[in-house]
Amino acid sequence: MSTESVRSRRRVARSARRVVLNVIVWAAAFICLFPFLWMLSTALKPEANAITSNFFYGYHWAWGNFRQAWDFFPFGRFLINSLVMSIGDVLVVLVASTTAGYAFARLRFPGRDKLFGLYVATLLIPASATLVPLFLIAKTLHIYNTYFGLIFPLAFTAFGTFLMRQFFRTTPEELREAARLDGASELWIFLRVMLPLVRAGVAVLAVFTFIAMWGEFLWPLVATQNENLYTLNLGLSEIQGQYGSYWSYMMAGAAIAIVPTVVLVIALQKYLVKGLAFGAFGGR
Amino acid sequence: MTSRTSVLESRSRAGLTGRPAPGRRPRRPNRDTRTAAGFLSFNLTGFTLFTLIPMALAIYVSFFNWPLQGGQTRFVGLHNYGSVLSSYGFWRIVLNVLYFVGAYVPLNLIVSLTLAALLGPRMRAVKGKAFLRVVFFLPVVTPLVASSLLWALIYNQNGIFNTVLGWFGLGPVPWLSSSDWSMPSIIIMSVWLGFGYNMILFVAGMTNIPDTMYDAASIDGAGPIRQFFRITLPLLSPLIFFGTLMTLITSFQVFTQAYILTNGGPGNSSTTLVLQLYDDAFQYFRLGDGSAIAVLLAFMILIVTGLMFILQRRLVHYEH
Repeated sequence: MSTESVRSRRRVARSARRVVLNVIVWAAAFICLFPFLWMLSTALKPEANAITSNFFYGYHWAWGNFRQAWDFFPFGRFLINSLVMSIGDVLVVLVASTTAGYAFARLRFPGRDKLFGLYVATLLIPASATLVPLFLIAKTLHIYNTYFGLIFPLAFTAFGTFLMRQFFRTTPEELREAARLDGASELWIFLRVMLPLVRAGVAVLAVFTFIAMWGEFLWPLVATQNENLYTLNLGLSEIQGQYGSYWSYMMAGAAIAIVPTVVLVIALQKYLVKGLAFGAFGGR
Repeated sequence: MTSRTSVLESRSRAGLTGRPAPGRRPRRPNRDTRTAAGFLSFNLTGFTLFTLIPMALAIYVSFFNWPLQGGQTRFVGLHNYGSVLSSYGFWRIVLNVLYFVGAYVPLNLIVSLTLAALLGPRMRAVKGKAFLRVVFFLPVVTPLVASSLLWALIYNQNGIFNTVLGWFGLGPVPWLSSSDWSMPSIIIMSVWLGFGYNMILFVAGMTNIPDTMYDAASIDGAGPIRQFFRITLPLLSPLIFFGTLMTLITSFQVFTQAYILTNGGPGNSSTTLVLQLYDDAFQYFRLGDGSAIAVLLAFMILIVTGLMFILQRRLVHYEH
């Protein structure tokens, strides 16, 4: 057997392997995307024929479903509520986490490490364990069934503080010293010197908080009473409970709920990895 | 550790005792303390109100008969725990959760590790890796209610799964309407929505493994599969540990999928602990019972976390 034929046989084996690997991975990607494609296809089928095995129904796509779903259910209201809750939580989490993360990372005060240890320890307690107490506290503070009640109780977990502390610890100590010697105020140092250095961390925290709050279901389910405050997730679940067979409309609603996260993930891919390594979303 | 960091560490240790480090500006700790009080005040207020107090309150409420509306709250000691633990349904629910965790976590790890290996930096044969990573990550960030609705449609008696099975003369499978299939259906759907998290984590870890390790291995004649088991897995093990722990903690709290897909049914064949917690507290208005379940769940998770850390000492390979 000549070395030439051995080489070409190896080449064939290698390209066969290449084809097989690509087929496996792309088939997996298709399976992964299929529920989304099926959602879109169902959202665009006439309501009467929503459950059919055909990918397309007949000759036309029923774009009107989105319009009808929007008119039939208060999706506009749900969307606004979801945005208020998600953006509100992003703002509160950013303010709370950057200030505390900075204090824990760069300021020296008695009991600092013990207090931070307490923060970290709470990360071990599952969020669902505090559901009932949070409800009681929201009632006591008279923020139950209000936007405040939707936003604040979820905004003070230790995760954001922990994440921002990690980022602030990478900043050079000398800059702050120099600014102090120049007589800068502490707030100015924080806002103008330190915060710009941890932009990446702020972005990571903002993206993850938004995605987590946009997907949050259990707390709005407990913390709201009337439909005016329902988030998209809550609205969709109520629609399923009451009009379980309106598949085209439900899929149109689900598509609306999915759009912002899809856009964010595509636009901000590079930040995702950083956040995951810190345990954002609390794992899956 | 660089020398600068260690200087910082020792400085902060000096700060911890409240004494200024010798030879340093004596006013500094004072100024830092006042500044820290200002910077911490917002966070600390919210953290106390919405994290610390609720954790203590969870235990407190579990000792009371605490009706949601009307009625008097009454101290009942361990009665709630007794009634929760002695109810026949509770053990079925614990088994459901163990079934879910026992199937979901390994499946998640197998799928995510396999795809991470196929999309990792070593795999030059696969095209479009950046795009594929986004595709596999999409279900992770999709709101759970929305993805649960998608799967409710797919699992429908006349839905696409049963249609495709029909093409091969199989089925129809009563995905959500039989007590044998309700849990497997939730598990399959959960693997779909969850594996991308660990996959991205593992891909990131793989890019940090130096090429020289693999070069040395291939000189020794190790093929790609051996390299995966002998190099990638051991060097990735700290990250695999982290991912497994997070996945475990999350999966003990599975709720939304079960709520939307089956609402725990048929019977209580797919009821989970958090679903029962929610039902007890907010459907039957028994906050005490709900809190007892919450405390038990937290204990379970703490025990599992502890076990994982014990296991980690034996299985996880750290450098240095």
